[in-house]
Amino acid sequence: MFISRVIVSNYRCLKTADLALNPKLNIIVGNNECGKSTLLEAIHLALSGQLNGRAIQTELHPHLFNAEIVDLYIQALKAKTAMAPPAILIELYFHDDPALVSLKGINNTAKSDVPGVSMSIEINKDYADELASYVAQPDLIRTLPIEYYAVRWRSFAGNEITARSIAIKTALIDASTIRNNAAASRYVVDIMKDSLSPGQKVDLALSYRLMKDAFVGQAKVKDLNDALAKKKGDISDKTLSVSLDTSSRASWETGVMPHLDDIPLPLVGKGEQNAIKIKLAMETSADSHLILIEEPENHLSFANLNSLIAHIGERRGERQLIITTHSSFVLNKLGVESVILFHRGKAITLKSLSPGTHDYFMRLPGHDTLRLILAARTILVEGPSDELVVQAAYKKRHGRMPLADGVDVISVNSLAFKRFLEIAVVLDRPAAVVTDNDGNVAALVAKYADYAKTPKIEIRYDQDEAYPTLEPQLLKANGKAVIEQVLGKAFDDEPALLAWMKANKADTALCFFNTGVAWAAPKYILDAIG
Amino acid sequence: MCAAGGGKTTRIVNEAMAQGGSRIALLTYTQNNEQEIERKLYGHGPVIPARIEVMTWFSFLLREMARPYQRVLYERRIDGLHWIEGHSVPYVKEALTAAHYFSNGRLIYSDKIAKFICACDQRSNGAVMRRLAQRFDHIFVDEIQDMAGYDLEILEGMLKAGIRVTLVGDHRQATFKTNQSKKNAAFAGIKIVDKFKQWDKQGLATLSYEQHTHRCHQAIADLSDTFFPGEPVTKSLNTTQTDHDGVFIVRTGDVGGYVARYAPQVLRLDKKTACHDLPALNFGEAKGMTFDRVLIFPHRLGQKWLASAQLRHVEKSAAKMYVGATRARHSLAFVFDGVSKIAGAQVYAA
Repeated sequence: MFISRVIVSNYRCLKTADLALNPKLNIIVGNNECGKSTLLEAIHLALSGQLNGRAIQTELHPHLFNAEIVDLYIQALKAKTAMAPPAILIELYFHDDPALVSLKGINNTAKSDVPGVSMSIEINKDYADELASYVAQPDLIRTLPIEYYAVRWRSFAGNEITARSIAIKTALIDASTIRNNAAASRYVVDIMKDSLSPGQKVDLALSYRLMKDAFVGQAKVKDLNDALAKKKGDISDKTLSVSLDTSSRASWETGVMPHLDDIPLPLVGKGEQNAIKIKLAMETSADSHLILIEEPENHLSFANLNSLIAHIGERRGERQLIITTHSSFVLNKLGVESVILFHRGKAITLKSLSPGTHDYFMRLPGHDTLRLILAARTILVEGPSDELVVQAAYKKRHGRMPLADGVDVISVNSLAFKRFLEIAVVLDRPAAVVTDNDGNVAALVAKYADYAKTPKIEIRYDQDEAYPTLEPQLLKANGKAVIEQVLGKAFDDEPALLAWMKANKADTALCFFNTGVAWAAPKYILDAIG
Repeated sequence: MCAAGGGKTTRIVNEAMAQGGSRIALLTYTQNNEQEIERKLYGHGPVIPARIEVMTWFSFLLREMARPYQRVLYERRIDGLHWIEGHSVPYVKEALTAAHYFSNGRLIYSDKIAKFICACDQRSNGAVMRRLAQRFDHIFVDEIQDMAGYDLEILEGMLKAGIRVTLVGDHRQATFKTNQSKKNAAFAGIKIVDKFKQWDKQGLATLSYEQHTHRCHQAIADLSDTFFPGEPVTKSLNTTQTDHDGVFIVRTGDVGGYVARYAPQVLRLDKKTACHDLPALNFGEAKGMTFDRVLIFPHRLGQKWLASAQLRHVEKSAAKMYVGATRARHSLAFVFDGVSKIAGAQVYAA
């Protein structure tokens, strides 16, 4: 059982979103504010009917609605043009599994004949009169009249549903936000609860109640109650005594707290807490479980993240996992092919990546794949010196650092260039490689022959084999005098200068990066900068 | 088809319970009978397994057949049913989908929901039936004699779609009708059995009769059979003997003493018949129920039938009379002061 497609409209920052999901692993990446967390929240809401751990009906507030659409609506009211009040819609399309037939039908925007659920938050037509008087004075309106809205939670068969009607159970693990302690501990207990069998739950509840009963039987408590009983008549005509609350309201969930080495879980470090939460959720037995994890890398050291990610990879089994991350490490380690690049409600996947490239990044998870995925344009360079010089050259030409234009200059071992280019091609994203000719132009031509005719890929190097690397190229473009000024050093001759530059590559590059002296970038670098 | 008291409901409940692992729908027309089915299911254990779903016929039509593919015909969600006793908007043509099928655009007319489903299934190239086949392994319909009009088309559609269906009922007890549609009017009431004979002939279904009753004393069964002379004779399996078994005539003056002595359930055709202010049930309401002893206050035509034993007097209410008479286990009595010609009736001596 898995979600194959999600459609969202007007929910928070997701004005419209439509994305296909992989049956098992989904790694959602995207820039900040692109709606990754909102997407997880929406999926969890439509599956559980809950927002922030409470029923959505009690959590309705105007800011659940997309601000843009609300503005449009208020403008329309002021201008007296016709527009229906905004409505939120979240639709989850499930894979056509026989166990989910009761949810099957075509009551969805795609008119697909599959099982699914839809949650809408829309104007309750019973309040038409109240709404009419509310909108009568549009100048006073700042937000939507949420009181007149109703939540409709239905299957694609068109029937009302409850969380029990959906066979897919979900756990949302949000490591990014630290909630207040009460909420956090309840959330831990909820996750723990999911990993207990029904029998274990009953036993726990029973033991808890017996423990409370035993409390009253204690000699000291009895003495106290006897003393209180003697005051009968002074305070009330009835007997006053103390006891523990044994009503169902005071169930074990409110009194039991998971401990880690005798320390209450909410008091354990956030990183370890999150790791425990994630692992607990992974242990839940049902195969139908959908696990939503938000930014697992938060609060974790590199070593702990490594072991957590390995754990997730091993234990996820047949379950569908949707994970958001800002970490290339998480991405590479879990499998770059499962990436879903989320951008303005649209999703791009890397499914057509070759197995070799996928394995390469999995084995060498330190690569900055995410930077390439998120950048509008990428310039791949061979090392830190090239990175600095290219950045400096870019700033000289455009007056801004490349990142300000969405251009990311990434320093990569030249062996990995083609792996990165493969991702750029799948994403249809422009990328340039700035490389040394290493005195062998023919070898370069052969290496990049595959990309000779790929429109958005540029391979930039100098044809002159007499200038094999960056330093000779800088010298060729600027001459000894300019470089001496940039470096603030004098040399006897060009070979001495070049020898120093080669021996102090990083210093040389830093000088070019920081200098106020006018210098010229080699032509192949200028071509790459564009 | 099964005689009254033949244990139809018990039988389908047992069958449903026995089919471990398969997903089952148990359907019936009335809410009373829905509760009866649930009560019998609880007889098998403390919980009804999740795989067994008990629904009323209309709830089933709405939730499992009309809504899932309604959009091929009608975009706006069907919120529920608009109950219609006779014919809804008889002069609005079918082509005007919204007006023909819906009241207020949101409620579907109860007499047209089955027709709407047939149209949906056709328009969606059989998606409605395909979904149903995926949804349930076996569908049981109790009180099948209540089905009418397009309901029969839906049942036929299920059979044609290869869905395993068990229909049980007693055509002699056709006192309700799910709708008054002109469709299949030739198979209304007791004649519904002719439709089943057709299906049998076409190889879509197998029609079989159960002619025993666990409930009624033989004398009661014999009297009840007289309402439908062309039908098979019922054999009683009720061998319990009490001090008051069979069919009786009770004089008006003796009613008080009789009620005090035997505590019978009082039944009548409808509320127009006065019953000495005793707590009475209409025949129709009593359907599906069982009582040890029944006392019937006959209506005017019922009295004529008692006096003459001529069936033509109760021809129109035969199904209801049959239902009323077959509620009793041990004794069935009629309040009547004249001379009764019905066979086997003894006058109660106070």
